[in-house]
Formats: sequence, structure tokens, C-alpha cells
Amino acid sequence: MPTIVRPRFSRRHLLRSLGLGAAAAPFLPLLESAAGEPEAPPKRLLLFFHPHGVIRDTWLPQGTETDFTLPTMLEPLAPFQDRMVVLDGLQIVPSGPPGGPHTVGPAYLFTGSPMLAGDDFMHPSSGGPHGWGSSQSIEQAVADVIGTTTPFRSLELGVQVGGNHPGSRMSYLDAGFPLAPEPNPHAMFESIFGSIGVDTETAAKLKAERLSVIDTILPQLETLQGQVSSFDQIKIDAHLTGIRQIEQALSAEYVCQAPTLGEAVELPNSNYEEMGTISRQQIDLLVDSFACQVTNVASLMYRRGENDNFPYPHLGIADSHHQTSHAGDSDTEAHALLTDIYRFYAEELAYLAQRLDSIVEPDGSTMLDNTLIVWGSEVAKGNTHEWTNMPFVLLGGAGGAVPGGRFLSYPGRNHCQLLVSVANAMGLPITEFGGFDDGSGPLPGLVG
Amino acid sequence: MQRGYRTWGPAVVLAAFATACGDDGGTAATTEGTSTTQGDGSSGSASADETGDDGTPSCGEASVGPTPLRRMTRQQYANAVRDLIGLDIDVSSLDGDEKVGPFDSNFSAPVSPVQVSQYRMLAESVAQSAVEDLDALLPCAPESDGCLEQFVDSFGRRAFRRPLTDAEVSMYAELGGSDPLEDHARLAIQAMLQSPYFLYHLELSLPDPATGPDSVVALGQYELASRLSFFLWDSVPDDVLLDAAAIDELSTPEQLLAQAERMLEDPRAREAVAAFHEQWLGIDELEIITKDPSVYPDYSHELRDAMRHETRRFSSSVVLSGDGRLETLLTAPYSYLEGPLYELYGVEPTGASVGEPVELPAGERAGLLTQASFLAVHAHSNQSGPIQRGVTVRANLLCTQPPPPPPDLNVIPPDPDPNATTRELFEQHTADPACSGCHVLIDGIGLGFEGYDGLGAFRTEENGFDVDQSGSLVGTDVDGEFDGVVELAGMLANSQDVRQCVTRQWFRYAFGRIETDEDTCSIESLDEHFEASNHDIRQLLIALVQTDAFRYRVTQ
Repeated sequence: MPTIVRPRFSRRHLLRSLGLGAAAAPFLPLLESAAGEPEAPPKRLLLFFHPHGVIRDTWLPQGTETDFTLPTMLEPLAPFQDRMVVLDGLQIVPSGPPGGPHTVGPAYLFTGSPMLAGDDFMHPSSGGPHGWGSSQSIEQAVADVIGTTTPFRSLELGVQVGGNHPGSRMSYLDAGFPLAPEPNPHAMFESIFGSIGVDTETAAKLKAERLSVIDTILPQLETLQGQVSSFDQIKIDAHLTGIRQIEQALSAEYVCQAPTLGEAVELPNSNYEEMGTISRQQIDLLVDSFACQVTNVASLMYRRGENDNFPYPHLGIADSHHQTSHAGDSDTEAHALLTDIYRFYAEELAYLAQRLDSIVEPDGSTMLDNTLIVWGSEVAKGNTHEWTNMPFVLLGGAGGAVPGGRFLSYPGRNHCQLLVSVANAMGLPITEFGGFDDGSGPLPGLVG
Repeated sequence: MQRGYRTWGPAVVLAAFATACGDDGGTAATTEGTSTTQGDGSSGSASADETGDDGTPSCGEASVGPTPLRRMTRQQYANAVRDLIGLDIDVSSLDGDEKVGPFDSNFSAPVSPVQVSQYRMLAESVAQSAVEDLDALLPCAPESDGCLEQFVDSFGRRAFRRPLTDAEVSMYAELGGSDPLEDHARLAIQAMLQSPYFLYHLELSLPDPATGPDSVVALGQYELASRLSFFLWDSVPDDVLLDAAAIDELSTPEQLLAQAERMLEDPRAREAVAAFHEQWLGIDELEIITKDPSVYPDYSHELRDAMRHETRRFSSSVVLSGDGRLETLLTAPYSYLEGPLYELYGVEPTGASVGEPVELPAGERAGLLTQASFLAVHAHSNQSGPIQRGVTVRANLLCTQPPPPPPDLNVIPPDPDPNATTRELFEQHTADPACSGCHVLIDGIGLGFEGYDGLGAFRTEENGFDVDQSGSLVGTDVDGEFDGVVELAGMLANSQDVRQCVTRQWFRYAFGRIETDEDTCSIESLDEHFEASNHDIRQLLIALVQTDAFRYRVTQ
């Protein structure tokens, strides 16, 4: 592992550049070793989620492993086909307490593990009962290794993800410990970079105040650690971690151009018209956070697995996505709407890839080259909820670990093998991952 | 006013429990000899040692299921800030609440870094607003000696639901260094609103060292004050409660009863009762649902709010200023309307204020299940929702969870068809024998709601066809045919299954957890007192604060 130089931070610089367009925010490559040689850029991992699967006809590429064309839904990603792997054929092989597929799917997807037993979730339409997911998700396993030297070990961002429920969580720190994504880009911005639109003197005062407040909270939590039951210990520990994260963010120093966000939009859960705006702001924030070395691990969750019962008015779609996703295989009208919805997600991912690709690292590669994006959904298909032929797309390549330009088929293979390969690509030498793992190791031939 | 429970002292309680749980007297007698202090750590609680052969504990000693540490809900945060500072705040920047059953609870998942950060930002903004009117905030003249400490002391006692130590008062008062008083007050609030003593329902009373790690312990006085206020007000205690705790006057069931009666007279109780009904019926989802504007052009935020307000006003009025009876909640021929709800219900506005009851069209509407909030939430965006309505009645009112559809089944709702009624479409849909076994339990209820469209408007015709709102209840203690929800509600109002479900739902709401075997005696005492009071919700709440489950906790 290269030593990562702790980036420095110029709040004045940051604040002065607020208001510049995002496109005018290049990364300043300052990660140089003592000898002046540029270090290998860090690898980054990003999980990308959209709900309710795909329409297979408009998702599945046509052609051979290395010579293939992208169909309607994936077409927006064509500029990045050379750094893209389309993975067909994988299946989730669940065990443990049953539940509604939309509810348990988000946990299954990246933990590869069953739900905890329990009577926690008995929503009338979701089945169960069951608890939260029972294991760490793959990006958190990666963050255990590469997230320790950055101010944030990982960032969880969401776009209209809905409530505090398994259907709305795909990231898990541990068994029974889902990580809530932040739905508001401006709130996450403030968590990372501090208050928006204040002068240097005020910023320094706010920082001092916040640190003094933290000094009152930390000893309280430490006292409570010895007082609560063993069962509740994890809750106090988690709060302590959250407070220490705030403290660490206040003290972090970054050298980078200021990220910029557009105007804050109203964020009630039902403001579906603004979905596109929120999405772009979250993506900008995410890319800038990678560029500023805020973190190397992130997840971006769109809507929710548990019945995305909502329209896409910015696409002109007034029907409920979930209801439409139940249309029969011969319903071409519904399939056109659904393809529009899924293509929208491909467009968002293409925007994200384009922004990453515009950032040149010290060694001449781009940030996209060094990032591994894993795109998945909680079911393969909305009308059957099946977990066979799960639609996965990889983008980037983790610094050459995952050669692009490939369309690979792994019929019937356990999707935990993909999670193992993802970890391998990020430098973790594991051979199995998750409770569904059948001991088959990584996907053969995926990581080069 | 009649208060039949004033004489319900401990001796009566024990007698009642013996009747409820001790009918297997022989077994109870033999297990009692081996009971109490084994404390090997493997059983859920000390009371588990007293379990009879049938799995139910005997009721001679306090018994209670484990209550996990809960984090405050968003509504509790907002209500607390209202009561502490007098500010109405928007808490939508906080992550949603984790539910237990239909109720907000935050009992399981640990907090995420993102949520802790949201607490920081909200606390800063509340504190900033709080000090804008310093004179109103402080309990003393700002310039007077020791005013800051006095403020920290009184604010902190209510925020933390216990007295602050001298060291804590100094710690908070010192925040802000040499800055003006306003900054000190702001930072003290900012810090206290982020303290775990504010954000969590901490119950730290220690077990008797003699009884081992898993023992049933009485809650401390301040912990009881906090339980009372969050249960009956959904907010922090007032000084009366904290003063009573300070002199051990929350010790006996009679003292808890007296406090509960006082608290139910307070307007804050209306918020809690309304919150229960909103969550119980799933109406809190109104905030996020959408309606297809091409089918329901009348749906607006104004109509949505009027729906929500109706159920809140109706439930809190029936329970707290009406006769309090479950039957009235389910069958009252009146309600509280505002704005566009008059038109939706086809009621001529009488000029009544929003707080006055309005008579509903006979045969069309009566009680909670005919309210547009319930009907609109449990419907599709472009049509009614017989399945959702049927499932919700079964799960939330009858406490029976219909099994989910088999995983390989195609559960596509039929598309609306201008040449058929929704009933016809759904009947075809679930005619498959693979479906009909469960769907007879759901659809018999759900199709009886066909007199109401996806917005909750009453209808006798759909697509030019007559609407059939006949239904049947199967698998309950009041099985039978009915015609429309008004009749259904009348049957449910006489159902022992519904009554027992309601006591369990209130239990779950009160404790933010599902009942366990250890709670059997508490639950059965609730059932009995609910029955004895002719199903008066108000009396149910008063009985609830006197149960073992309310007064004790099990240490782990």
C-alpha cells in the first residue's frame, strides 16, 4: 500500500472558490512522495443502486465477449465501454428468514448474506418477519482496509431512498447495523466541508464551538458505555463513532478546489420532480469528495427497494414505478416506460463516469481508471422478483485490476463470487464473502 | 366522571393476575418452588424461571420482556423542542424512524454517522432560533446573577428528564468562554440537544446485586416520569412530573394513575393519541404517496392535509373528550372536516369550525375505516386498493398477519379497465387456487371497501357499472357477510379479536417493541381492564401505566 499523504485543507481557498461551476473544479494533484515521484493513485470503490431490476431485452448486450453493442438502456454508457464490464447470469441464492424480495433484496445484494431472524419487520406487504441484514456489505469490508487513512471511511449518499427500513438500506457496517444514506447533498456537503457561505473568521469560530460541544458529548457516551446492557452497547458505540466522525471532519485538511453544489432544492420525500437535480448534486459531491481525498469508498442509492411506488415526473412518467414494474412480459407500453426509467439511471451513471474521467491523476491516468463502480439492483426483474440473471455492470477498473470492454456471462454462478472479485480488485485477498457464499471463490477471469 | 379504577390497588392487581394466568394452578405451584434467583444468564429474564408448562408465566412476581434502548423519534424531538423552547420546528432533515409493527420506535439499528451529523445540524439551527428571544427563553432577568446557571439547570432537567449534577451545570454554562450570554445559552442548548441523555430513552436503574445480571428491576422515579410523558404526551416531562419523581411520588400504581389522569387532560395528550392512530392505520404514509393526476385531478396537498387532520382530530376527540370507546372510533356517524374534505364527502359546509363535529352521510361513512386518509393511503395511485385495505384491516386491526404471496407467484395488480369494475378485475386476478386460499381472508374484507375510490370518495358506480360493496369476514370471532364498510365496522366493533388487537397495539406503541411471553400478565390485565371499562381507550391507557411492563424492566 502506498502511503497516502494526508491532504491539507485551505478553508479560505475552499470558500473563495464557492460559486464556481463544478466543471471548473479540477483536482490539484498534490500527492507526491518525498522523492518527488507521483505515487500510484488510490483505488476507489463505489456501489450504485437502482430499484426493481431491468427489462432484460433492453439491458442485455448483443455480440461476443469483446465485440458487443449496448442496447437502449445501457447505451448512455457507450463512451465508457472500454472500461466497462457487463455481467450476465449471476444469481442470488438466498437462505435464512424469507421476506418480500424488494425488502430483503437491497441487503442481499451487497452483503451476500441472509436477514437476521426476528420480528422487527412485519410490514403487511413485505412478508417476514425478519430483522436487518446479518452481515457487513462488501464496500465496508473494503473500507476496513482502505478507509482508515481518509477523514471519512466511507460516504453513504441517497436520492429519495425512503424510510428507515431494510428496503431502503444497502450498506451495512455490521450485522444489524445498516448505514443510513444522506438524502440531502447540502447536508452532506456541510458534514464534509463545513458551513456554506461564511467568512473565514466565522468558520474558525464555528469550528471551535463545535469542538467544545463535542467535548461535552464524548465523556457522556464513554460513561454510558459502561452502564447500558450488553445488548445496547453497540448503540452507544455507534453514537460515539458518529461524534468522532464529526470531530475528524472538523479537523480534516483538504487541498483541492472547492466542490460546488447548485441551489438547495426542497427535499420533502414527495418532491419527485427534483429527482434529477438532487441526483446531479449528489454525484458532484461524490466525485469532488473522491478528488479531495475525503474518502475512497462510497455508495449511492436511488429510491428504494421496498416498493418504489412513485412516479418519475422529470421523465414525464406519472405512473408508479413499482406498479408498472409488475406489468406482464408482453406489455410493450409498460416496458417502454420502464426502459426510460432504467435508461435514466444509466445516464446518471454516465455523468458520474464522465466527471471521474475528467480528473487526471498524478500518474496520467484518470480517476475513473482507478475507481471500481459496481451497479446492481435488488431483483433481476420487477414482475417476477427473480434473483436469477441479476443485472450487474462494472465501470472503471480499479487501476487496471478489472479490464474493461467485456461482456461476460456466468450462468448460474453465485453472486457472492462477484463480491469476492470486487474485494480482490480492491486489494483484499479474500476467497469468500457473505452467508450465501458457496465456496467457489472469485469469478474466474474477471479480475486480471 | 366515573373512575372505576381508583380502587385498583396492588392486592386487586394480584388477584386479577391470578385469575388471568394462574388457572393452571398445579403447574404454577410446582414451578414457584424453583423460581427466582437462578440468574444463569441464559433465560430472557428472571421471570422465565417461573414459566409454566404452557409457556405463560405465573403472575405472582413482576414480569416483563426486554426493552431495548430506543432513540427518540422525530416527532418526539419536535415535541420536546416545542415544550422546552416554544418553537415549532421542521424535523424532516432527520432520517426516518425505524418502525416496530406500524409504530415509530428506533429500537433496533444503531445510529449511523449520517444521523449523528443530522442531529448536530438540527441542534445548531434550533439553538440559534432559541436565543433570538433571550427574554422569553431565560427563566430570569438576563443580567441577574447566576441566570445562566439557572437556565442550564431548568432546561437540562427537562431535556435530560433528570436533575443535572453541579458539574454538568458548570460544564454547559462554561461553553462559550468569554462570549456574551446569548452565545452561552446557544451553545448550552446546542450541546444538550446532542447529548445522549436527550436523544435516547436511557433506563439505567441497576439490578439488585443479589439477583444476578438478568433480573427484573423497578424503574427509577425519573425513568417513570419519562415513560409517562413520552407515552401520554410523546414529549418530555413537565416540572410537575419531575417534581413528583424527586419526592418518590411515582412509586405506586395509584400515583401513576393520578398522573396519567392529569396528563390526559392536557392538550399534549391529544398529540400522542393522534400520533398513535395515524401510525396504527398507516396514515403517516400520506406524506409520501402520490395520486395519478389524470385519474384524481382533485388530489392536492390541501386535501391531503385535510384528510390527515380529520383522523387526528377525530381520534383524539373521541378518546380524550368523547366517550373514549373503541366502538365509537369505529362507528361514529360524525367527524371533523375542513376545506376540500367537505366536497369529497358530499357534505354541505355548515359553517362549523374545524373543531366541531359534522354529521356524516348516513350509510356512507362512519368511523375511522371510512375516513379518506385511511382509504387514500391504502389504495393505488390510479385505483382503489382492495388488497391493501384488506391486508391492513387484518394486520393492524385483527393482528393477524396474512402470509406473503409465494415468492414465485406473479403478483401484478390488474390494470384499470374501463369495461369492468375493480372488483371484477381483482376477483379474476385471485381466482387461481394458488392465490385464493389466502386471498379469501384478505379480499372478503378488501372488496367490501369498493364503495370508495382511490381517493376515498364514496361511489355507487364505477365505469358505468353498479358498485358491489358486499364482503365477508372469515377467520374471526365475528364472521359473516356485510354490505359496505359501515356494516363491516359495526361487526369489527363487536369483535373480541379486534379489542385484543387494540390492547396489543397500544402496548407496542407504548414500549416500541413487540410483546413477549414475559409480558403475558401485563397484556392479560390490559385485556381485562379494557373489557371491564366497556372498551374505553382512555381507561386502557390508564391501566397500561400501571402494568408490570410499564413499571419494571429487565436488565441484561
